[in-house]
Amino acid sequence: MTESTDTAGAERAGADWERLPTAAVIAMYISGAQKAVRENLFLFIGGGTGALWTDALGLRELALIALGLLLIGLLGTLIYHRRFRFLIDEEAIRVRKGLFEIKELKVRFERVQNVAFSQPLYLKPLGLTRVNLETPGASQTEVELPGVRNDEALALRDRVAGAHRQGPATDAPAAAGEGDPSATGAPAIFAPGFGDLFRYGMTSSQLWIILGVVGGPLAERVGDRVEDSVEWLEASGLVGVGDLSSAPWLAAGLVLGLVVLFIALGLVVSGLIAWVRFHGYRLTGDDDRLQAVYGLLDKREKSLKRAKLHSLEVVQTAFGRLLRRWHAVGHQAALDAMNPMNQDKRFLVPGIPGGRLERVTSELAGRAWSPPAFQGIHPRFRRILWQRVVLLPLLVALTAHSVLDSGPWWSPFAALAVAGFAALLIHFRWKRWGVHIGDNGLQIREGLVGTTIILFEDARCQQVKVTRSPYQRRHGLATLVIRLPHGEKTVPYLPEPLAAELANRLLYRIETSTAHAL
Amino acid sequence: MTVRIDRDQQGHAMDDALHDADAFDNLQVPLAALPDYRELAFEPVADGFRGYTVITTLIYWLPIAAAGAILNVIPDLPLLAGLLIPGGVLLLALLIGVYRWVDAGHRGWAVRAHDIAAKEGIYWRSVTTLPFARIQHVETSSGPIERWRGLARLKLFTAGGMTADLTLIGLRAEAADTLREHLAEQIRLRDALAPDTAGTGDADDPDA
Repeated sequence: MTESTDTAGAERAGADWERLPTAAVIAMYISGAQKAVRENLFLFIGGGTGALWTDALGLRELALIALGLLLIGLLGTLIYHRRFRFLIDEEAIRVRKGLFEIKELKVRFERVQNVAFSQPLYLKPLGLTRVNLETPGASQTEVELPGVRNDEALALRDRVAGAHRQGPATDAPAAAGEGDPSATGAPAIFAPGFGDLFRYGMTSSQLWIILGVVGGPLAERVGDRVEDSVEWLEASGLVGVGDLSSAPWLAAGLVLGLVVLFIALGLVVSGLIAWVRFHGYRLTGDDDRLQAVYGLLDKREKSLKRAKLHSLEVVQTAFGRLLRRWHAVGHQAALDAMNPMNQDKRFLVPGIPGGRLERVTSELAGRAWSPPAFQGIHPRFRRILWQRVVLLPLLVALTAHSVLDSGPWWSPFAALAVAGFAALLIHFRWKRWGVHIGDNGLQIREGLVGTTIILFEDARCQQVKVTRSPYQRRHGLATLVIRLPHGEKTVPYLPEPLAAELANRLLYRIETSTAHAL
Repeated sequence: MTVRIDRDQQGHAMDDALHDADAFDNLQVPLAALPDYRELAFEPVADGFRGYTVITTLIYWLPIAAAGAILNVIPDLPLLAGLLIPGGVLLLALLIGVYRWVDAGHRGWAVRAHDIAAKEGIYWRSVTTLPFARIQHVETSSGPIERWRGLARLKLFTAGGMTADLTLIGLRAEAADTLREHLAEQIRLRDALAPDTAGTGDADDPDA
C-alpha cells in the first residue's frame, strides 16, 4: 500500500487511529538494534574481525562508522514510529506501518492463537509493554506493537480473549473465567520453584548447543592460556611442571578435573539462566485458553487458545532423566516453527518434576493423561541398522587392518569398541520408538537416552505418507510419516497392514472432522 | 447419530459425515470399512514428461561435459585425462537420465472425493495423501521447457509450511489447470461449511 492510500485511509478512519507513545521510540530502537545484531550475527562478527585485522581502519574510523550506523538506525526508527498507527475495534486490530512502503494489516481477534506480552527491564520504568499477536501462517501476518501502555495491552488481551469466548468453535461457556485468569487469582496449574527451574536449566539441551558452538574456539584459547600458565609456573620455580610428565595419571586427573569443573560451571550458569528467564513461572488456564507469566529481567506473558493447540510434546532430556525432570511444549501452527530463532515463541512449561508430569500434562491436554503402553517398532529396524551401520563398517575396518597390516596394534579393539557403542545406541533408539493408538488420537514416543512423547488428535494432522524401502517390502513393513502443522513425525518399521490402517484412519478422521487445522 | 459406511456407499457416507456438524459424535466405523489408499488407481504422468526428463538432464550436464572436453586445449594434459573427464561426466549424465526416465514411470497421482494422493519412488516407494480439508492454497507453475512439452506442476500448500507440502510434477498443463480449479472449489466449499474459519484468511487484507 502506498503512502497516498495511507493518507486517504487515515482521513476515512478519522481520529480512531492511534499512535504509539513517544517513549516507545526507545523500545523500538533497542529492539530494532537487537534484531539487527541477532539476524546479522555472522556479518557483525566477520565485519568486526576484518576491521580489527586491517590497518586501514583505526579505532576512530570504526567509532565513526558505528556512530553513523546508530544515527541512521535512530532516524529510521523515528520515521517508523511517526508512521506507525494502530486501530482496535470490537473484532479486529489494524496496524499500518512501514519505513518506505506503508503496509496495512488487519487481523481478526478470533484468528489470533497466541497473545504474548514482553516487558524487558528498559520498558518497565516507561510503563510500556511489547505485544505480539501471533496468527497461524506467515510471519508477516504477525502483529507486533513495539510498546503500548500497560493498561492498553491488558485491554487488548482481554478483547482477544473475549473474541475467543464468543467464537463459534468454542464449546466452553463464556462465564467460566471472565477476564484474566491470573488476575482473578485462578489456581495455578503449575508453578515451579527455584529448584525446579534451576534443574530444568541444567537438563535443557541449550547448554550442550552453546558448548558445541563456542567449545572449539574456546578450547583453543584456553589451550594457549594453559601453555602460557605452564611456562610461567615453570619459570617461577614454584611447581616442577616437568614432574607431571613422570606422573601421567596425575596429569590425566588434572585434565579430567578441569573438564568436570568446566561442565559443572556450565551447568550452574545454564541453571541460573533458566531461573532468570522463567522466574516466577505461573501456568494458569480455563476451558478456553492457557496462560503463562514469567521472567525476572524480561517479564513475559503468553496465552494460547486451547482450540489452536494441535499437539503437545512432553520431553525428558538425557540429563533430565537423571534428575527426573520433564518439560512440555504446546505446538501451534507457525510458518517457521523449525527455525531456532522462533524457539522463543513456543508455549513452554519448564521444570516439571516426574511426580507431577501426569497432572500437568492432563491439564495442558484438557483430558486425563498418563504414560500409556507403547507398541514398539519391528526388531528388523534394529537388525538392519546393526548390519549396515555397525557390522559392515566394522568388517571393512578389520579387513583393511589385516590386509594392509598397518596402524597401531590396538586399532581393531578401538574399532570394536566404537562398533559396540554404536550398536548400543541403535538398541536404545529402537527400544524407545513406539506408538500408542488411542480412540481419537495417537501418541508417538522416541528418543535415545531421553524421551519425547508427542500427543495429538488424528484430526489435527495435515498429511499422511507411507514409505517402503525394498527391505521393508520384502518383510512386509512400512514407515508412516505424519505431518503436523509444526513438523513431521515418523514411525518407522511398522507392520505394513498396521501402517496402512493407521494412514486410512488418520485420513478418515481429518476428512470427517469439522475442526479446521488452524 | 450413526454413519454406516460400506465400500459402495463410502463416497456418500463420507460426504454426509463431512457436512454434518455432529460428525465427530458417535462415529462407529469398522476399520476394515474405511476407504483404503492402497486401492487407489493412480494416473500416470503425462507422456511428454519422459522427454522432459531427458532434455533437462542434457541441458544440465552437457555444458559440464563440454567444459571437460575444452580442458583438452591445455597442452600438457595427458590424453587419458582429457578423455576420462568429459567421458565420466557423460556416463554420469546417462545414468541420471536413465534413473529419471524409469522414475517417471513410477510416479502417479489420484484424486478422491476428499483428498489427493501422489506416489513416487523406484526403490523407496511412497504414497503421500493430502486431504482437501488441510489445503490452504494451490498453484500451478511451469518453466519454459515444461511449457514447450505441454507440462505443468501443481503445488499444494498447507498451514504452517513455507514450501509446498505436496508437488505433483509431470502433469499435462490442462490437467493441472483442471485440478487447480477443482481444489480451489473444494477449499471454497470447505470454508463455507466451517463458519469458525470462514473468511479468516484476511490477515493481509487491508480495509476488508
